[in-house]
Amino acid sequence: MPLLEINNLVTAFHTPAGRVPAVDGVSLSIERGKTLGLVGESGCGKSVTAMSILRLVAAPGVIEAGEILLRDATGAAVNLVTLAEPRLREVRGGRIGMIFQEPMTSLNPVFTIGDQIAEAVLLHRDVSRAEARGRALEMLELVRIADPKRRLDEYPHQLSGGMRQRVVIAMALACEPDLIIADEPTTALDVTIQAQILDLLADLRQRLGTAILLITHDLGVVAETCDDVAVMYAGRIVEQAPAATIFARPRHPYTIGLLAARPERGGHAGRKAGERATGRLRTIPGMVPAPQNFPAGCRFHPRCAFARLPECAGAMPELREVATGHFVRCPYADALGEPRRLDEPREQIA
Amino acid sequence: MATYLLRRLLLGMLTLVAITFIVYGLARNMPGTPLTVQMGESDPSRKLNPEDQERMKRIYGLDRPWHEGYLRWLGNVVRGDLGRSFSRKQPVTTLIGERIGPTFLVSGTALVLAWLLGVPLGLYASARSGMADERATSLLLYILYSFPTFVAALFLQIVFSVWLRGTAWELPLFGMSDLPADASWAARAADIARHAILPVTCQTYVSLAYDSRFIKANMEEAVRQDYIRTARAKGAGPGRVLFHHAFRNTLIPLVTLLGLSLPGLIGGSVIIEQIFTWPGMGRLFFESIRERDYPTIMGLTLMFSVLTLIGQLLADLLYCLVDPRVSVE
Repeated sequence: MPLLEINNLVTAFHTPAGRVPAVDGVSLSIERGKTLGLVGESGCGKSVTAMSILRLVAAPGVIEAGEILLRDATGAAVNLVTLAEPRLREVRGGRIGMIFQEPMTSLNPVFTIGDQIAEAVLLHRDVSRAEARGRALEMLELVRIADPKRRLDEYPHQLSGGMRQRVVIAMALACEPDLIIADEPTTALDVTIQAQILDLLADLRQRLGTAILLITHDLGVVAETCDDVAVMYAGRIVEQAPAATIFARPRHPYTIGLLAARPERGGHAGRKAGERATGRLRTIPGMVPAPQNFPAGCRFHPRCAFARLPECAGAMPELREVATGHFVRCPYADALGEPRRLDEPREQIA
Repeated sequence: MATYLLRRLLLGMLTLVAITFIVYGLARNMPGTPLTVQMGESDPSRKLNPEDQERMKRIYGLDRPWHEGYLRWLGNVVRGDLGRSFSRKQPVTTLIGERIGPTFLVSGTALVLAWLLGVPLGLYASARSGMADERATSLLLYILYSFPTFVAALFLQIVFSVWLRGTAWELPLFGMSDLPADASWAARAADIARHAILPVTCQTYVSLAYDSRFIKANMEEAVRQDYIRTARAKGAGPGRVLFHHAFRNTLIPLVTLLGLSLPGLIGGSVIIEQIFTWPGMGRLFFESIRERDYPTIMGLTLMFSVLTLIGQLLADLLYCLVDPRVSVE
């Protein structure tokens, strides 16, 4: 029984220009203690998916359909989409913690670090102020902040970006949630700090057994931290599989393109001499379509190197299981999965 | 801290010299002198003959160029002497002392009322932002804010002093008290309070509308910030998010607003005091300008400037209290 199960989630924004379905039928599940990476380009709907889980989508965004089931240890599930607001607040910060992208702005500038972590504890636990403060100190030690006693009484502006993100993590973990949603937790940080934060998250997961939904556009991050990966494109999941499988045998043309677009460390066997000289990164041609003009059929087909017309512009392909635990939304996935056939089209993508 | 205050003090002195120099120059170069305005215009028969005029000018020091006059005024101020009013034959400090109470009564009450009503109203408006009742309230406040005080004052006078004359709702048309000076203390207080109702109302409604709109605008800015989302993600309820997390952040601009209202507290409103013939500072200022009463003009200018500077300093010091990111160093 998965810890969190999202079924056919639809979150749309009702703007003056019309309805914009940023998340259009997303289904996901996360097992207890596992890390799921949700990957995609900017604007694919991954952050909106994350915000939808705790119903934090800002107006004019509305969850229009679907269910989000959160299970407790006994397997009893609550649907977060329909849960009453006071009960939902028990889940927020209690059973699900959240880490945001911008550590510089996600802490309140006028309260001390200690107060902000203690608040998370006081909101969910029946403890005294002193006990909550003690818990805050414990949490700062847990996220390995140097000199935690002194930091407790400091304000966010006195901390560096990396330290603030540690504080946000401490806050999210303060009530020992079953799940942490981390929305691009390292994007705004320096590369060296990124590695430290990811190490910290991996370590905490191991020690506390917290499941993590890691939202990122960085496949390197996914490779290092995730058990499973879901690739999102234009408001839908296009491929989902164990991380090792995705990197070894990507099946969806978009995933193939994303992997090919990564900067390579060291040489690349399939690369021609001329390419090495210029050192250019491969790209996927075109742009992510805006939700108001999603193309008909497969939403990736206008950018797809393998697209067959008119079939791909016809009906939206279903997400189907091509191997155990490997789901792909492309009718030609079986052929694309053949490593032998990969080399030729990949050059076309570039 | 001490060096900061010292620096602010020196800077303040320079500012004061600049302000008073400009105002003195403008006042002295306005057409007319205390002599012509007071005696010549109203009653030609009382016009002084040229010899007397020259003699008076010498007495008042008006025979010297204006910049010399300024230096002399500045020298006296340094020695603690604001001079004597030309038209009222009294020391300027005595005049200010008489007028400060009535002005403070009206503007102090108005300020307290405006904040007592404006802060909750602004918070209410931001909590119910976009709802029908909030839109109606905001529209009403906007109309109030754009409504000129003098129109409102005249309208209130017509309603409460003319239309309602003879009823229990009648309020005095103008002045501060109708009772003789020997009336009992309680009777005089009640009488002054009755006279103050209309001026206070006039002064309150504009600040009230401004304050609540200011708070609403700042709250709306605050609730868009990332830390509000963090607070909600922590499980904080809407009340806690709004009043604890957002409002604490709007205190920062609010402190500036409060600091800037300090000079008005003592300066009063020229328009309202003039319309209601309220014997306060605003009216004294207006009259002293009309009478070219340079010592009074300068005394009041100096006082308003000092209060403005103190208000700013106070706001800056309060900043350090409400915003941990700001420090005087």
